[in-house]
Amino acid sequence: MDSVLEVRNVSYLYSKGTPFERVALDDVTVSFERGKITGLIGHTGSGKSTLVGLLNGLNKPLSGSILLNGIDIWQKPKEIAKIRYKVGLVMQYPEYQLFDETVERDIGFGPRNQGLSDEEVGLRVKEAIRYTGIDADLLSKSPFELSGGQKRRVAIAGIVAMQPDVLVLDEPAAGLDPKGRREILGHLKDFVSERGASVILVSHSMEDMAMYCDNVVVMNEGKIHSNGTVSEIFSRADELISIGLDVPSVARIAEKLKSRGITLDGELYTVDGVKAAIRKYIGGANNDL
Amino acid sequence: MEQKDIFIEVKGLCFTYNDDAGNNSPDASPALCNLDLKVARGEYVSILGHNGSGKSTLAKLLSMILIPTSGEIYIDGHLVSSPDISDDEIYEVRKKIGMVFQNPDNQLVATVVEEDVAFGPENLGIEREEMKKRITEALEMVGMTEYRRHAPHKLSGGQKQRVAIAGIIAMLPDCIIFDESTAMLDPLGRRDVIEIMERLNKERGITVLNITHYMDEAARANRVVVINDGEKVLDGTPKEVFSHVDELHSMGLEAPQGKELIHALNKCGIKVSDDALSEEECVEAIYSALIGD
Ligand SMILES: Nc1ncnc2c1ncn2[C@@H]1O[C@H](COP(=O)(O)OP(=O)(O)OP(=O)(O)O)[C@@H](O)[C@H]1O
Ligand SMILES: Nc1ncnc2c1ncn2[C@@H]1O[C@H](COP(=O)(O)OP(=O)(O)OP(=O)(O)O)[C@@H](O)[C@H]1O
Ligand SMILES: [Mg+2]
Ligand SMILES: [Mg+2]
Repeated sequence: MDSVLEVRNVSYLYSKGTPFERVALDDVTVSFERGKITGLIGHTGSGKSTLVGLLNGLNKPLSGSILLNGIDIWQKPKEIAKIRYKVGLVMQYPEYQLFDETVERDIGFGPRNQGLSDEEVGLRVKEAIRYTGIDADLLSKSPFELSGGQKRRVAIAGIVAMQPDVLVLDEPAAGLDPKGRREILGHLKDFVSERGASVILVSHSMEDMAMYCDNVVVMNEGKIHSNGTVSEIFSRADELISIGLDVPSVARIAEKLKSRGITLDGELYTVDGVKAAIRKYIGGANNDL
Repeated sequence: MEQKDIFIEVKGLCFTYNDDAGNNSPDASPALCNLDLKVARGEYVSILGHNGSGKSTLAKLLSMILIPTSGEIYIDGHLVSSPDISDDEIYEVRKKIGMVFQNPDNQLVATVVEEDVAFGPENLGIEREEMKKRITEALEMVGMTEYRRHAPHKLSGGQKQRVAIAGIIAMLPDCIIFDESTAMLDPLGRRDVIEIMERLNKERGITVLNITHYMDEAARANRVVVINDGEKVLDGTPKEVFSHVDELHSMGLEAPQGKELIHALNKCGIKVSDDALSEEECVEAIYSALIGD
């Protein structure tokens, strides 16, 4: 596998040496495939945000290493800020990072800091609002005058505008309406194909994993539980449920139909996938006549 | 008689956010527009709507964080939208409604979880023994007992949310408004919180309003209200509301996956009864369509 990011034997502790010491990551080794959308799931507190915070050098692993394109990101600690433009992280609750006077300035903040001209910044902002479905009318508003979902989009646009090689999104769709979810997550595929980028997507929505991801990494209690393609992961429903996760609702429906003797095959994790399988089943049944 | 059972009554409610100078700018479009809503005591209602449709604004008006631009709001018979309402009355009514938000960070205040849960009741002047009991019960209800002595700001997102909910539960309000409180929870955590909502509603008769973008979650309430661009557009049982699949799509929403599947099958000529809503019902409906009678 061609890995864009590799995590090798990484451990991380919070509140080291106090009674509240907490092992958040325990000897984690995992790779993220270049040019793919990789989902990251796990129960609350399993260590997802901790892990993604290490990927862009926001925090430093206690032990182990993080390789970006094969090079340890902490090789030159003084240059760690550069890593943050290459690995763009949209943090959980990103709306709390909004600060500028207008939406437009907020989205343009990263590119401006990258030293781009006003004109280039303008183009970046334009492209970023396209990827995130922000109405151009909102650009002159204060980010504090937006609804929750609108703020979320602005925060994502700010990172997208930096055009990172790896876009890491921590729960980006929480709080978005279904259309917003489809727009933003759907556009990730374009972002990957148009820009040759890679995406890591943290989410509690199994439906999002099924619809938008190529691979899925599963975390449990600070460790990597499993790791594979979407179908590999969702074929282990019982295991997922036992660690606080689930499979998409439509996958359960397909499973129940199968257990009642309806033979369905294919990718049974999305509405479209199950629909296709049912059509095929009917086609097959008709042919048998 | 019937009047007595109405807990929330909203008539012709409009709200427009002020501009920076605090003026009601004439060109600002209203966040809520001529909204009527009645919620009976003990009801369990989901509120759906696209981003920016006005759901949180409604929640803030009901919990008296905002004051209507025009229109009337009655909470438990008190006309709270009146400018003449006394401070005592405001205090009295505020106790009746608790709010849980998506991000609990701005609701968590103390350095230890149990103190955080105690914060609300303490402000209500609840005595020590009673308070201890409420804290224990509330933490139990959200499954955070073992974190009782932990620092809230060091918990993960989902763990914090449960603590925030415990803080509201401990105040024993008549009504709780959940504003996307499950958005940051894992599937198990979401199920837990939904179960908590349903238990609070069934066992304690608490009126529950659940603002959510998860359609399967919305479908579990007794009633679903859909807001679009500041106006109420659908209001009925989950079955009624989710039968308008195309209309929901046009408003940026959708139906639970099973319902979406049946809708898609019908569109491509596979006739499935579209009365089903829950997963079980959807399986039944599709099964009988495929097997044929
Ligand atoms: N700043 C902190 N100080 C101490 N402990 C922390 C801190 N942040 C997180 N933790 C703990 O580390 C563990 C991992 O937390 P993390 O935030 O990485 O989980 P997560 O998988 O992102 O959870 P969620 O799905 O709720 O966002 C949890 O047990 C949490 O309580
Ligand atoms: N503080 C504010 N100042 C000015 N306008 C605001 C403010 N808060 C919200 N608005 C605007 O009011 C409208 C309704 O916002 P509201 O927060 O009620 O939406 P919502 O339905 O809760 O959306 P979401 O699903 O994104 O949370 C939106 O157009 C929003 O931009
Ligand atoms: Mg997290
Ligand atoms: Mg809102």
